[in-house]
Amino acid sequence: MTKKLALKILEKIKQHYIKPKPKWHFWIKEIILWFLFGVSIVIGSLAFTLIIHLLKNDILPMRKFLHANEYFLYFPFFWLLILVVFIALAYYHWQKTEKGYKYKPLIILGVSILTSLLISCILLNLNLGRPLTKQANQLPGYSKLGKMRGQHWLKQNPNRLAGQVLSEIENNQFLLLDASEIEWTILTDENTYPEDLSFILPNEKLRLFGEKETDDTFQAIKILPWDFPINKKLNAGLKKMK
Amino acid sequence: MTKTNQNSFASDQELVKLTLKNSDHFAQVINKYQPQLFYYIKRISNVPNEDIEDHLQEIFLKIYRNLNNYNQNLKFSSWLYRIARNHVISHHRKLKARPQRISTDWEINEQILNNIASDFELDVSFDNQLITNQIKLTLNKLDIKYKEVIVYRFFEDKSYEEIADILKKPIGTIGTLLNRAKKQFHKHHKE
Repeated sequence: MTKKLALKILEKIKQHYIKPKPKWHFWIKEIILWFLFGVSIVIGSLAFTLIIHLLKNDILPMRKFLHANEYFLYFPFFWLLILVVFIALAYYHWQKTEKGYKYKPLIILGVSILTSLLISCILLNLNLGRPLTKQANQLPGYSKLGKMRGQHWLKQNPNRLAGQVLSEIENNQFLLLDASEIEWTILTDENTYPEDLSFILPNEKLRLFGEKETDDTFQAIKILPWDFPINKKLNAGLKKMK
Repeated sequence: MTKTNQNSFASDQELVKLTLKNSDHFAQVINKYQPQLFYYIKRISNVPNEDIEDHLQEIFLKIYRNLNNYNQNLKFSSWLYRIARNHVISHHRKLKARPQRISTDWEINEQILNNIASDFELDVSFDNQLITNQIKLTLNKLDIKYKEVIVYRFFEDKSYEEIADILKKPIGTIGTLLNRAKKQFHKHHKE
């Protein structure tokens, strides 16, 4: 049977002109898998960057001013989901590579997460957190969430204010026009967050936490950039802010 | 002198290189591994003897088509078993019947019996034939993933590393699988 089978197979190979698949066929497959792994890591890194940026610059500064239910509006669940999905994809693609199976799932996941985290730290150090957040807010679907957050800020609240800067900061104060066209004098001091207020420039849109001292004076405790997408239909006041 | 005779002592790696230059050398690979794969398919699946040759033909053709994908760092037999395993599994998936049972018309030689008995702490002081039948019956009751590792380890005499390469799993997982397989084997053996 042995010799017979060998002869049968060789005959079939010759009859049907069967050839071994070329090496490049397998190289391409391997390259595609590593490329997809890389893409997954990069997208995971962007999600990580946005999560860290939002936690550091939005959630943490706002924590004392937000009610428990308001956390749901600001917590980066969406980016957390994207991170989980793309780390899972990175794991899947690595495991499918030629030697991927040799590594324990924990090692693959650990390396993928740490690589994403490392890249996101580099991006944050390059101050790309805010530009990326702005870009992300333009994404179809996700921009709706940004608009909801924006609307939340426009609701009347004695501890919150949003508007457009009218003057440069001088003697620890600047002017701000809110959505109701009220011109506010914003007071800052050494306790105002963040320490570096150099981003407060005319036309810049801001969100402020603090206390209304008079009808047009506001003591700022925390000042954050607006960063949300502005919907033309949002409200008339916001249109004026633009 | 035929090519088969010329290369009877060629290593697997050399055979692969020679086959890539001239398909006639593939006969050497087939002749060398056909008996092993025949018994492997028999042990792992329910494929009847008369159909095994057809499967072997398909498996060797897959091996031939994918020769350029063979990584020299891997044991050739592991790579071969991997292709054979994938073929058997996909065949059973097509039939919507995965290899749930090991056919029992195969032999367990004395060495395999002793190895299993010593590793599984079985008493072989009784009738060998009885023990052999008990082992086969117990193997039939195991989950396929446990049956598979026992077949590789004790019947195909594969090392952990080779099993890991065949199943494409980390070596640590093979140890865990074998331990669980032993536990399940004991559980069913007592029943």
